Amino acid sequence: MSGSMSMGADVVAVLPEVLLLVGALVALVGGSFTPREQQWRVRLVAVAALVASAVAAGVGLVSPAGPVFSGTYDVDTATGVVRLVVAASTLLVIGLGVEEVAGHRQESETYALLLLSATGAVVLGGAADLLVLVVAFLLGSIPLYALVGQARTGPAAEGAMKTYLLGALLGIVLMAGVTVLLGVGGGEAGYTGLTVALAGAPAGAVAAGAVAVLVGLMFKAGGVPGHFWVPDAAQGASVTAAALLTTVPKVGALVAVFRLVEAMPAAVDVQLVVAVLAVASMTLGNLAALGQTAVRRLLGWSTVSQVGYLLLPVAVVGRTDLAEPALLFYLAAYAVTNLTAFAVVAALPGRESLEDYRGLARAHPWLAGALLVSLLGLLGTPPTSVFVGKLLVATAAWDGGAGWLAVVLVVNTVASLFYYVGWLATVLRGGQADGEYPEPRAWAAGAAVWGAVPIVVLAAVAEPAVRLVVR
Amino acid sequence: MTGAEATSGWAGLLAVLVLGGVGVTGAFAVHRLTAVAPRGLTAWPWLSGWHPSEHALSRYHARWYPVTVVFLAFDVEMLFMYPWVLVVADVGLSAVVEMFVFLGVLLLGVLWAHREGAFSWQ
Repeated sequence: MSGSMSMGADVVAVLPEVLLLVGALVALVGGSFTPREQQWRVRLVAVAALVASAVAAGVGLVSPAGPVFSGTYDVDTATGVVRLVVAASTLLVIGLGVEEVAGHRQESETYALLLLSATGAVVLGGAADLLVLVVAFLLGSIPLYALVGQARTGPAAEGAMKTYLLGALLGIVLMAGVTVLLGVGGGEAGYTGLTVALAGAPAGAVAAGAVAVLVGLMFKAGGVPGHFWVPDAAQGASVTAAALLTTVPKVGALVAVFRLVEAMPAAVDVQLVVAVLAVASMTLGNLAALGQTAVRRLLGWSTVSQVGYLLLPVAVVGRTDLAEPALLFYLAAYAVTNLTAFAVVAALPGRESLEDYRGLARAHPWLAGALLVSLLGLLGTPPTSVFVGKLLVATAAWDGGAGWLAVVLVVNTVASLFYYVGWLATVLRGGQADGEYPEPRAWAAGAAVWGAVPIVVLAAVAEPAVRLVVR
Repeated sequence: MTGAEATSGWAGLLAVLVLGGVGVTGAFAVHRLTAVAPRGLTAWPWLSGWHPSEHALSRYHARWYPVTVVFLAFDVEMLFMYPWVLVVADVGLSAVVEMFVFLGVLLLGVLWAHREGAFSWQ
């Protein structure tokens, strides 16, 4: 009896996740019984589930419940932030995709897949157990394959195939790593017990297992070596799916990497592996983005480089108190900035190349303004929130004794200047007649303009937000 | 270990290899000489041992693919029930509730697949 009562309390503690899952199921089955022209009701269901999940997450953040379900899931501040960021991001994705998804043959399924992917990302971020991590990886990945392939075009099929094959391969690598860690740790799967159980295990086996799990999670984060699918999926999929897959899975995956590195015994220097992956991600992402002429491919490579920056605080886990707040703040700032850029792309359907954005500032100054704020944000100039995020992760790296990482970050930021500013220069340049721009999609343009607001506002509230996490 | 001991160890290994080789060759020769059908029965690794009557790359109807996917999706979930039956008596009511919530979610998937026409052959 006491078992079922504590389970009830546990279910209440994970109410935000439950609401996302129930929303997905209602959207899936409800959409099947709703006529094609009434599918907007399903969108309302999805939005209601996300808002309810965000509210429950906010309540949970005020008084974190701690470890639940026998310690396999951790409802702490990090999980709270992941829940909020994922719910807000998915809301923004639905907002920027209203016109694109409305009337689609599989509209309700799209909403169900978005919600299931969001559920997977949240559970990935909260998992404090290797086996829960595996389930969350699958729950978050499989909806992504379907979302990428939904567009039913050649490039979408290519993106879906690459996403699926790499996801299957790195999923197996992740499970192999989990198996090794379970084996040398005497079957201990929970992170709290794992640190103790692995302390006496052979360091080589622990390192091999930890690196395998890390590489598997890099598929979800979209960083080197699991980055291969990101540019193709970002370019080939629908803008809605592209916006989701370059934002939401990263939030859960990077917090999952943080928890994993935290749980590894001190004898194994997983932090060094993370540092190498961070440098590889930011350098490769930036170098590849330099030559791009397609906007979505450019944004895809830019997200690869952002994952590199986001891995900086993970590389100094346990060496500075700044690591956790830096990671969480950068995640929130990155999510809203990246989604705003995608919202501008969604507002102007069919404009795939950089040249298509010529003269946008004169034709649609509000959209150009949102693009300006989001691109300067991705670059990391003041007064945007990613600037504060970059400052925080660089400080964390310096504080944690990895000053060279902060130097690499600055060098890479200078390199990224060229492609972000190159796009902006095209937008500001004259040349295209005003009449050639059609009216932008209203919902997507609204998402872009409203998304640009928190990019600046988050920077203003950075200090209290960080104090909230550090306390 | 002395040199003589090492030499005798290698000689022993060689003897075992030669004996094993002669034994296996002898058994194979006896089998070929005495068997009713020395080449054995040919069974291809598909169609459960039946003789295939079409090429391995021949086309078949696309409706088999959804059937396969639906089967896999719901059959593989059964795996979760094997560990569950071992602990359900000890854990009690909460384990029963958890499993039936899981099965309920799966049934919603079946309902959706049915509505989408995944089970109709036409």
